[in-house]
Amino acid sequence: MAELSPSVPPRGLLLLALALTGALIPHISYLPAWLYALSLLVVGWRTLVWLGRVRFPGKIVRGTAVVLATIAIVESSGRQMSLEAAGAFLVAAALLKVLEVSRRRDAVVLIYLVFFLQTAGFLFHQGIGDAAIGLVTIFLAVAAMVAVQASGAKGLPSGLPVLKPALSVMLVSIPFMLVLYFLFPRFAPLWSVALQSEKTLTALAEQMAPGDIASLSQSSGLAFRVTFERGQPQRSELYWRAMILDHYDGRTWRDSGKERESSPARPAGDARFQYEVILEPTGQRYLPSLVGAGSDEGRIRRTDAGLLRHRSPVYQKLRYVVRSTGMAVMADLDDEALQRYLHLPEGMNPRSVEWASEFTQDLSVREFAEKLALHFSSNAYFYTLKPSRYGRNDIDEFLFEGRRGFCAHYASATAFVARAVGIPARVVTGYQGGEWHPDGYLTVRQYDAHAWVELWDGERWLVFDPTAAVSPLRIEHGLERAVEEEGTFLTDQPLSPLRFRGIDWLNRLRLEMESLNYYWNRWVLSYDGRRQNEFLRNWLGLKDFAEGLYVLAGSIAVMFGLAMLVLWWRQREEADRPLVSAWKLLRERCESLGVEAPEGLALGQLLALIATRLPALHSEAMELRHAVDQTLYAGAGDEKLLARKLRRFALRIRPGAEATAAGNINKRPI
Amino acid sequence: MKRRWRSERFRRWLDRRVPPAAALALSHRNVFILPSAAGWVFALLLIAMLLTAINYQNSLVYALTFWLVSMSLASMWLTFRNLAGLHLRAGHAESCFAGETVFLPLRLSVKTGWRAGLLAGFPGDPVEQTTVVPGVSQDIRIPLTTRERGVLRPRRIKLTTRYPFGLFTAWSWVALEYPVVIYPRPEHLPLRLSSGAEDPEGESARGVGSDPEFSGIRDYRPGDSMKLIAWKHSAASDSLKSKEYETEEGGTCWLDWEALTGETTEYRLSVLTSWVLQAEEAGIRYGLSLPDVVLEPSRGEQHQTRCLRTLALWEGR
Repeated sequence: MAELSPSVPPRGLLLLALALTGALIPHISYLPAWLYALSLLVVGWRTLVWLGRVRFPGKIVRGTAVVLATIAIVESSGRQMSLEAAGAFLVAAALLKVLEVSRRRDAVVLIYLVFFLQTAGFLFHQGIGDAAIGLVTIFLAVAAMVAVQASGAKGLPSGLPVLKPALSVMLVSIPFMLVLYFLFPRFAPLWSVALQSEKTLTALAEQMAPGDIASLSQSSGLAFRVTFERGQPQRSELYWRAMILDHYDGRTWRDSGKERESSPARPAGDARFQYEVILEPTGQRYLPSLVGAGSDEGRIRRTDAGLLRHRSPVYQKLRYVVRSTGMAVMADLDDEALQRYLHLPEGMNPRSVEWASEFTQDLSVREFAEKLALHFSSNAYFYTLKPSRYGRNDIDEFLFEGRRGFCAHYASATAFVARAVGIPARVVTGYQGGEWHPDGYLTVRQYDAHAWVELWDGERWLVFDPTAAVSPLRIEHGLERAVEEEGTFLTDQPLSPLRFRGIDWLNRLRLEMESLNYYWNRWVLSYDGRRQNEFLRNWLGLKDFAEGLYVLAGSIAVMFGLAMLVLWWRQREEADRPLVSAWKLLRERCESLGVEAPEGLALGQLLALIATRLPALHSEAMELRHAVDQTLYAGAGDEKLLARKLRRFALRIRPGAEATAAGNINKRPI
Repeated sequence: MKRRWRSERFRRWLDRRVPPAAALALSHRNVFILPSAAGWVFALLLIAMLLTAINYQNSLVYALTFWLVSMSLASMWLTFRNLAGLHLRAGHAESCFAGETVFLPLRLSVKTGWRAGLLAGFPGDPVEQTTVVPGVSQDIRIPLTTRERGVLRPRRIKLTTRYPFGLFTAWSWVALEYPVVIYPRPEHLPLRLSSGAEDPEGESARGVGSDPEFSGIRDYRPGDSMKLIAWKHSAASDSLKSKEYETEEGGTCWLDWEALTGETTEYRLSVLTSWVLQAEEAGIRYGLSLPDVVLEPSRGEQHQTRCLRTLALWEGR
């Protein structure tokens, strides 16, 4: 049975166009400009086709377009397969498919493409707003599916609801979706995906030249959020260590990569703090943590320097739980490491080296730090986001001429001088501080990025933050207060709500939005295997996943049962209709008499059958049949009354009815 | 052989499960459902989406995938429900000659809920979608090319739907009884009338009468010979036209089975059918004589129908 040319109705086309537009929104941020031109061209062409001005493009045009689009994507992505290139390819495929949509099959293909485009879109953006737009897109695509299926050769039957069934299917499907979402096992990635986003993720750089961190300080982007489960650190303890820069080449500090990694990374000693971090994608492996950190998770490794690192670069939001002792680990440094932490390039910054020799060699590390701090605080050093430009011997120029710098300058100079004195030293980069939300969690933003120094006292690494000596406000109150007078806080973002924290209602609104985002991240985006286990344990009281599977199977069974119940209930309603039950009774009576009446036999036919098989009831049956026709088909007469008559008649069908001439006589005992 | 046996077995099973009747209501007893081709492709799409969710550890993609899974399961039920509860009733089909197309009227009605995207027809035939609105019965006519004379025993009609998402195909094999008689295919052999000597009742079965005179042009009727068709007039109008000849009014003749000895049964019936048409056309009284059946000479539409039915249903020899 072949269906006659099912067309795509205008309503379906419109829904499809809207759905496609919605699915393109998450891709807008990275699409090359020529794709916008293509989309305009495609929409224009398809509209003209719809208006009957031009015809669908032929095979040659379409083939050429596909080839050109492929070349353009390969070229504009720099010949590198990235998530963006794959996304652009999908978008181009969907756009070109628009030019073909004339039959139902094309429309179905395009709808499937929309679903996959939305999937890809969620890889780029996962905020609440993005999810809401995605929801609308899916709704439109589902409605388009309904419209496309319901329309025949003559188009969509007028008055046929399209949006309502789509909406009801989506609503009805929610419970089972939630069951699957919460109970479907969260596997580790089956294979490492080659396609990753090339989007420049805001992250700490792997190296640091003086002034580098200042660029991050202009970004109000979220770095990570922390919820403390145990312990509440002081603000001055909030040094989020991310990277150790131990090699200095005269200009930049970088990671020598000589630190070894080990796993599992359990913390040594009693953990003062336990906290959960939800880290924004960085494209790097570092996981910020407080000093003395450790974790039980197998995917997390710890370096000799006590830093936590993820197994692979973080391209999606990542949630991890850390325990910290708050104290640096006691350790030994071997000769190789000592050399590394003391190494300075020859002939650089001679004045600083000379100044270092003024410090007596038998100074303890603590005393050295105090002395240096005093030097910074008692002399005219400034903490600024607009440091002076420094030349070749930049540390010399900074320490003795410019004296204006950002944390990177102070950290870099301090580590240099310490090494020159003979104290093993390293630069640490990460974040400092954060904003406590009234709900009790800490938000750390990119402008909280910071650099400080760790000095080796022979037993352990001591934290020394020279910036604290120059600008205590930076440590106690954050960057905004520290540069308040200068007015350089977020100068690149004049409208950022973070600049208007002074306006009370605006600030409360901002905090509310952040709160919403926080719970969204915590419960939706970072729902992973660990959280699933917690959920199973705490909410459903299950010990392990095996029990979870029983619950999954059980809830599927319950839902199936509920659906059957609904079906039965509806059927029962139908059966309750008086005529139907009378019809059933009639049939049963016939069967009991051995008169075979098929199930599908209509009421009129049934009565005709009775009339022929039971001559005694012939006239009455024919009369009733007429009444049935009148009531059911001509709409004259009362259904209930007819049902009552039929029921009374049905009771007369009983053994002996074949023989008697009139039913009435049979009723009376003689 | 085995296949035929199997399909035969299937047919018998179907007859037991969904017995032929004049009217029928679809329910879980007679509706079947399976994923459609588009449904299988959709399943592949869902697998791709699930792999994306797992490999990118993306909660929103998980949610979207599970929602679509859940929706497609719901759509299975909806597709089934789109057929279930549908009432079908066979309408009155007009008789026709074997080889012609008979239109089988089918009345679809439903008590609650729209039923969209319905396809009703014989397997292999092109069909159009229909929609049924609650409380309004929808009539469709299913064309069927007839082959044999007799009571029409149509194959089962297949009622299909893929509404709402096209992911599942639900169908039912509907056997409806159409009490319609298909007349034998007319085989033109000119009816010639002559006053017979042998038959005392009057005219012989096959005789030559007065030569018919051309009297005009009329619409083509089934059974008209090619020679009768007025090609020039037909070309000028939309439909076929035939030349009409008039013979003497009031004659009586017998259309006799025995006049066609030596021919096959079906051929004889076909020729007799054509003669009935010609005699009625010519306006003469005609009787039909078959072994075991004799219809007294008469004329008029009723008589013609009776003769044609007799020829259609005749089962002797």
